[in-house]
Amino acid sequence: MSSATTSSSSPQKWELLGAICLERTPIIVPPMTEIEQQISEMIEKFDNMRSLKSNHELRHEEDKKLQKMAADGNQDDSNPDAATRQTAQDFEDACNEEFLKFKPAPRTTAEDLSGDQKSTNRKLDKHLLFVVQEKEKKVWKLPESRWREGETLRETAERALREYVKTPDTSVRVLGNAPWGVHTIKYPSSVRQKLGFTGVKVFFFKAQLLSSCTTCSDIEYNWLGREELRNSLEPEYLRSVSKFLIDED
Amino acid sequence: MVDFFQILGRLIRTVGVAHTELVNVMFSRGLRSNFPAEPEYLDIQGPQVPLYEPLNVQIKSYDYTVLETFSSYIHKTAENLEIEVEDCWATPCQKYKIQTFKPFSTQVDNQYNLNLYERNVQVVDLPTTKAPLFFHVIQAALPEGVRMNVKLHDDTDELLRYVPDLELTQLKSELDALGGPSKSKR
Repeated sequence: MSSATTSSSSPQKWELLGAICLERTPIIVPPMTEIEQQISEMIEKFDNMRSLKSNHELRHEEDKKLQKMAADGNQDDSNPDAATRQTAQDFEDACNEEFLKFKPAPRTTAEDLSGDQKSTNRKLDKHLLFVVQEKEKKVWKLPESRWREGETLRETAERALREYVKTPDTSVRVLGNAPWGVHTIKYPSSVRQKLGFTGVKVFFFKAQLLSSCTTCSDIEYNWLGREELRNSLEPEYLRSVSKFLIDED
Repeated sequence: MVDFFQILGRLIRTVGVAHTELVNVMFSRGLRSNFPAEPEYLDIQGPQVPLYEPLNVQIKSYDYTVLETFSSYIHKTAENLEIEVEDCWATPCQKYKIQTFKPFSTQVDNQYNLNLYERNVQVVDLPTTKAPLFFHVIQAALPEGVRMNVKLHDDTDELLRYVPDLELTQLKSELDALGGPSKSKR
């Protein structure tokens, strides 16, 4: 497979690699920024001012009226079980009590605090990207493998995934048959003549992790957030990859 | 001219489409039947990329304020990606009554009434090249407490929208009991 001719007379040959960009999608919603907090409070205030009385509030007023009538001495004999009925205030107190008893799960996990970059159980409100370290040159990159004749690039990417991750255990959803991004490396002219290729093109396919991940043994891997990605990946590679990643603070 | 107003009306009925957005949509989609400057033969070959059948993006939540804003977000995202949104409807909510019991007895401890609200956004003629992008963007923007499900449109989904007319079904069953409608010709 060769690309179109440019200024040179002979067609350029590129090495093709398919890479898989496996992401663990966020589990919880990120906390509101200050402006978002202020706006949501203001909207709540407006809604409260503009709203009509709810059933609960009407019941509360009725109870107050009954209490006042009982206090003044005008007993309402036609409603004998009014006294045993749970008042709105009691109901509210019981609800509040139950709410206080409920403890939601913590937003920061143990792996967050320890900084264990191999686990997917950290940074629950952010995307985590699966990066592996190449054995020879110790370069961090997304799992990739060379394209073979007769297979689609998506199959190449899935094969790359299988080399690093045990696929029956790990379920993954690949998004689409078309690559999401490309990274080109042009070889210097000396290397070009030696290898016969103008350079390398890596095509990225996005995938989402659906279950927990079991990686194959003896590979160096990390699940990195966006900032850690900036520190680990090479600048040019990072630029190609971040073009198709969802923006995050 | 009549077609123009019909399409305009259909777009206005859908959720969350501002007037300026309407105008942009009309011109960007280039409705060839209404703008004869573009000749018809350009469309003869058909779509270059395979298109999906009508898909329903179904979102459910217990909190309908968040749900409604999110359904309008989906609509706007689709419009911005030049994806045609056919319809955007709300299914009647499912009411759940949850009772917790006191331990080792059948005495009711607490009772909760929950309503599960649902909104559906139907997209048609979605090119297969745009689909992963669209769903990825929407999934990234999912708010708290909202469950999203994308599925092919089913006729049963249409039937769920209609509230059954109890009086009518009762009269019909009474008629059946009495021996069916009279077969005499008038």
